[in-house]
Amino acid sequence: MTGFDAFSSVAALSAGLQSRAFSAPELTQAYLDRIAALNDRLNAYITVCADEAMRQAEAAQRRIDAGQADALTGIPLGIKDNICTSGVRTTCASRMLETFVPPYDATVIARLKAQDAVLLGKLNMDEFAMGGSSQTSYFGGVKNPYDTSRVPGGSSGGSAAAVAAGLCAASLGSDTGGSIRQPAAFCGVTGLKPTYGAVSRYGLVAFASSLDQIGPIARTARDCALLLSAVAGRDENDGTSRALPDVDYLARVGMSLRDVTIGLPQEFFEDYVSEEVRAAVQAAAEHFRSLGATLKTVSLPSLRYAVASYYLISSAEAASNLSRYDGIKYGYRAQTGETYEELIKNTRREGFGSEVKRRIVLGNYALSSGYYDAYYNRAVQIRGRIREEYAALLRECDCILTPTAPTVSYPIGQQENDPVRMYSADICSVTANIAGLPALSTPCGYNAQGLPIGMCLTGRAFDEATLIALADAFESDFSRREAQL
Amino acid sequence: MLDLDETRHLAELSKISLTEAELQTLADEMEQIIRLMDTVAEFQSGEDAFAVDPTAYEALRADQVAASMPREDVLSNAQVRTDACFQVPKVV
Repeated sequence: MTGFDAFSSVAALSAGLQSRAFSAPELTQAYLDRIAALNDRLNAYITVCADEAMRQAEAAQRRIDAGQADALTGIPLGIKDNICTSGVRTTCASRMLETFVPPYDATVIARLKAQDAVLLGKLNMDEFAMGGSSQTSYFGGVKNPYDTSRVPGGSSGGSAAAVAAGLCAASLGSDTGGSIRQPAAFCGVTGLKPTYGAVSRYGLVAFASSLDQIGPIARTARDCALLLSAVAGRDENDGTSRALPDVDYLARVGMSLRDVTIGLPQEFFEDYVSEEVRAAVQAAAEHFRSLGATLKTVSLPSLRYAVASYYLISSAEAASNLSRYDGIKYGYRAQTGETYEELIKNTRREGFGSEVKRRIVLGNYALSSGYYDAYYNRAVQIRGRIREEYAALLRECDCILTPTAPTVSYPIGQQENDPVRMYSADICSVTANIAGLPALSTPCGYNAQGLPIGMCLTGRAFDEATLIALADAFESDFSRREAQL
Repeated sequence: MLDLDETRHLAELSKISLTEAELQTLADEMEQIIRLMDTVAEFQSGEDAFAVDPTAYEALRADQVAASMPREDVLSNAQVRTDACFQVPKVV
């Protein structure tokens, strides 16, 4: 197929479809061919929907031929496997849901289908989105396209790895404590966690309902805007979703940075952040200054409580949300258990992996009598304080710039089996979820081994457009290095 | 810190059956994890502390009867069923 580059942006692919440089079926087949050739090396996809994708591509082509294409018509996308797809199994990378086939589409899927986007398949992840390495999957760990001996980050590791490797044009992930942004940083792509309420969670398998958001992972901030435009907005099936009439996420692209103030919270640049990450993010800040922005050193004092607050709240909500897995209505069912109680306990013993069990137990600990005030209640008070601190910062700054993660990707096996080390590594990403704010990670450099480094822009609620514009300004001057597979 | 009995109680609350060896491993891991969670004890909440509810509803939809999912679809993922019912072990 001429004119096809697997590392093209969504916008470029859409232009290729419009100009008839290639057809939607040709484009879809080209991605399916790459998946067939490369997925075994990355394990990014759990399920590939080749036949259905080709049918969708043919429908997309009819729409293009009729001159009625939308931004994502005919664009091949991958979907994190915790987002329900009617008739296509949705496993959450868990034995518990290994054979679960949803009888309905998540709202985001219905909205992508309304544009005749092409859904290539379901992407690997940490089990139930609990993790930062994508190694806790029941279907085996995901590998980083920049170095297949290293983790891709998580929990949306398959979504990030697939985009970085050109196994889809863009993808959807979900972010509860950094699960879009951290893998995007590790895999050298752009990921956007929208404001809480910007995107419907209907059909997203629930982990921590007050923190979860679905969002895009793509090759550019502009592509993230295209996906977000397609899926965002009010949905009557999610009472927390917000009406966002006439939002144009590309509206500020190209804006002058002369009136933009970027805050650099000093707590995000301390010694726990590796020198190479700190240097790259500080250099990115200087680049924004060279484009006209004002840099301001600021403070988020309650960051020191953020990891504990996040894990207490998210685990408490997970303990509640995952109580539905009893082996009765859907999902894995143990073969043993004479009584109702035994059946449930055996089902959960065999169906959940060890990290999921730890989170459920931690959540029940935080909620149990005698500990509720000391842990859960205090954690939600910290959430209130962090929200106040962000609100104050964002009155004096247009956005906050931080590292996305304290380090670059690390070797598989190095730290995934140490829960405290894994939890502590989330320090740079959890506050955006705690505060419900939009946050975007985009590459800002590579270390000496060529591994990507990500920076994170966090903004005011429902002001994704500013983050996209700032990231776009940076990306325009940034020399991206593609993964060599 | 968690002892083995408390860990057993938490596993019971969590509806997860564990062997004694698994309980011991979990107790050891939870000790480390709870030490990290104890960071919240240093937080001075003060009089201005407040809890936020980010899941506050934007608007509730009208309370109207609407079609639900077809019964066969609802039952389609059950591993064990009898006629049009989910099947569970005998409870009485």
